[in-house]
Amino acid sequence: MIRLRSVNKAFAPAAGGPAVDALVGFDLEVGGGEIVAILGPSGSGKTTVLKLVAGFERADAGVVEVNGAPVTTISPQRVLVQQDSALFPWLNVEDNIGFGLRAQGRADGTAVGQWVRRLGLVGAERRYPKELSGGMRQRVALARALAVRPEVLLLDEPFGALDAISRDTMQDVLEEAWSITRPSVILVTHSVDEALRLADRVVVVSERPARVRATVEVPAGRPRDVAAMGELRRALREVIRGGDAMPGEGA
Amino acid sequence: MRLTVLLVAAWELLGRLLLDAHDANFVPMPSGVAVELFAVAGSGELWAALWRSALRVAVGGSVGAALGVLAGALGASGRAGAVLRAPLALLRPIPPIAWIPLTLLWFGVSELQQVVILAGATFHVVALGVGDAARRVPEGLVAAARNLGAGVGLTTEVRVRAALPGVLTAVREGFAVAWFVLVAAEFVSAAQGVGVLVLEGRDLLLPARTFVGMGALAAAGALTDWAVRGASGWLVRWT
Repeated sequence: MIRLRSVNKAFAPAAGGPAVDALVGFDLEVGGGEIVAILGPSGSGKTTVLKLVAGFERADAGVVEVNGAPVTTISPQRVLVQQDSALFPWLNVEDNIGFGLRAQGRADGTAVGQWVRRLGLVGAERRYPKELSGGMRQRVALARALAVRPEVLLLDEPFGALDAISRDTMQDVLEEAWSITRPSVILVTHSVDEALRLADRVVVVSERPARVRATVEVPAGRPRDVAAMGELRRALREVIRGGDAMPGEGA
Repeated sequence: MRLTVLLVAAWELLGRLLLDAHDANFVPMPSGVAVELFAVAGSGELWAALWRSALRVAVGGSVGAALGVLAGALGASGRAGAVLRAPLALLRPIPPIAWIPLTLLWFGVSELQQVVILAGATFHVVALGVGDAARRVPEGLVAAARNLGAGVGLTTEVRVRAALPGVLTAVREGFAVAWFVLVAAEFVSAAQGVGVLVLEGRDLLLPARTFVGMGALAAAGALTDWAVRGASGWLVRWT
């Protein structure tokens, strides 16, 4: 469904100087309806992966495809949700959620109402983003993204700014919302527990330029008890700290 | 407000204690200013002056603000910005009142000359502020809009709405500068206005009249600011 093969991407620093490699020879595949988490150090190029799939950036070399078609433009079929939610401050909750539908000429009050209910936003429809907590803003961002029914959902540390309890709640909210339309998801996170909680597969990347160091299938159904995955947690943390690739796993 | 009342009371008290009748004419006490205020208001001069000045600020400020918004928005864009930035930067250090002699030559002593000075003063402040507001629009918002399927029109709307608080602040500052510059413009070449009232205090040896003019200026400026702030508050009630 989503395929990155031998992708290279470098960025020229704003202050001038030689380009800095973000990705070199990067490979990743995500199947239809699959959730893949990317774990890795800050600045390793994880967000670059999301931007390439979203169409905000073009690869310098290699293949970036969705459903066999190369990604060449931005599309509401591949929606990126950022950590800062990027809600439109002049629109209330309802109008933010309905923005994508209106943009595509498919304004649908019923659909907006459904997503308001699914993401636990009943009663907050008329509130503006400035009146919402961080967790509420992320619910609105998710609802806005899912309302356009994308084939691919790209999440860049969506819960990174939240406290632990809110984060926990939002993981449940995300899983439930995802189960309705089941897009393919790439989730960038710093949290091993979050990756194990949500993903079907966890990909650990190196420091920049990002290369895949390990890929782990998460052998559990849903809902998950991360506390019961002690071995897997320890092994993933070891890999992230720079230990050997997990036995039997690889790019 | 309490401090203001206290200062006015202290001024009155000190004046009565320390000034004789002759000195009190040149350093009028609040009571003297109040007497002059009633006289100027009662004769209609004050309202005529305020109306004339307010009209100049309204017309000049609006023209300057409209052109400033346009220039600021264009200046923030790629090619147009590259063209506009240099002349704007060159003109910026020139104080608006420095244009008075030229505008007198070109337009004579006229309402047009007054309006041109005020429009020029407002234009610069607004253009700079709007350009800044346009450049500060978070690209994340624009990216989110495009990602959700927004075309050029809707993306532009996103940019405009995101920049709106900064634009309105620039307009508010522009009108404040217009009132500021108005006095100098009226000093030089107006027959009527609050600036003329201020000057008459010197010409007629009536400093109390100068204080009345200054007070009228302060009140008019505050009222303008209140009105623009109120309109802004409604337009960007989501901030």
